[in-house]
Amino acid sequence: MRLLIQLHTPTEAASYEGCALALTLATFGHEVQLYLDAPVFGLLMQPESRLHGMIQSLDLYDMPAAWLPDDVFSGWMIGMLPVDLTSQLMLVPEIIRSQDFEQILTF
Amino acid sequence: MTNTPLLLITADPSHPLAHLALRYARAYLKSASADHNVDSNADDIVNKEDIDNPNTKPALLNVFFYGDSAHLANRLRWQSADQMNLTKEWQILAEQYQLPLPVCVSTALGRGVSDADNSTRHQLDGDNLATGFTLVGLSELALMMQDDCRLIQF
Repeated sequence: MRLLIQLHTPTEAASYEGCALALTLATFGHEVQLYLDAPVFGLLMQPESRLHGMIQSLDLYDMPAAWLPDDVFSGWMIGMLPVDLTSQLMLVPEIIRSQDFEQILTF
Repeated sequence: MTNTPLLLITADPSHPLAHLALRYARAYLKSASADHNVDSNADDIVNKEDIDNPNTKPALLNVFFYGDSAHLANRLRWQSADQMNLTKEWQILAEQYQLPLPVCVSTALGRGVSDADNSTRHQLDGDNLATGFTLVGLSELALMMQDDCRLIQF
């Protein structure tokens, strides 16, 4: 199943649970694309947060780079993060075909 | 290949979506079971083993409780009389349709919901998992999604 999982809720538990679901489903062969919305940037920037560590390991799960909103704030944050994390992030494409995903989950 | 709907319930019991999930499940099961009975009656050949063993029947509906919805599995969650008791309503539905109620074990434990086995394993003082609910790994959800299911998040 092709899924887009959006992380929006700025709590450690919600961001962890959304990301953990993404990694688990990827392990089972599902195609999962993560989208990190601006409210979770604070957690992403904390090196001790579970979200930070899991995003660093996306390529170990054969997952594509997580999408960020295409705005100035994302650009600023990418400049603040270590390279091993930014290599797992990219700005959301300008055009997303809704039929590319069978379902969109939000956490 | 199956089109069995899979309800991924993540909303807190106080959220309107938690109530909507129950209403959806109730309406779907009522409709699907009526269709299922009509189909069964139309069959000329009835396999008695299939009737005796409910495990051989395809599930009408799959549900999975994740995140904040794990609070539903807490049998100690008190509610005032003027509020719908979602835990009890899910239990009634589960009993009526032999519907499993799996809850992600890590999200449940993180919210203070545990069964006897996990309480022993993690040295927790007591257990509070409501009857009918079971604690399972997240891999159960991934396996439910292996087939061509209709995934709906509440």
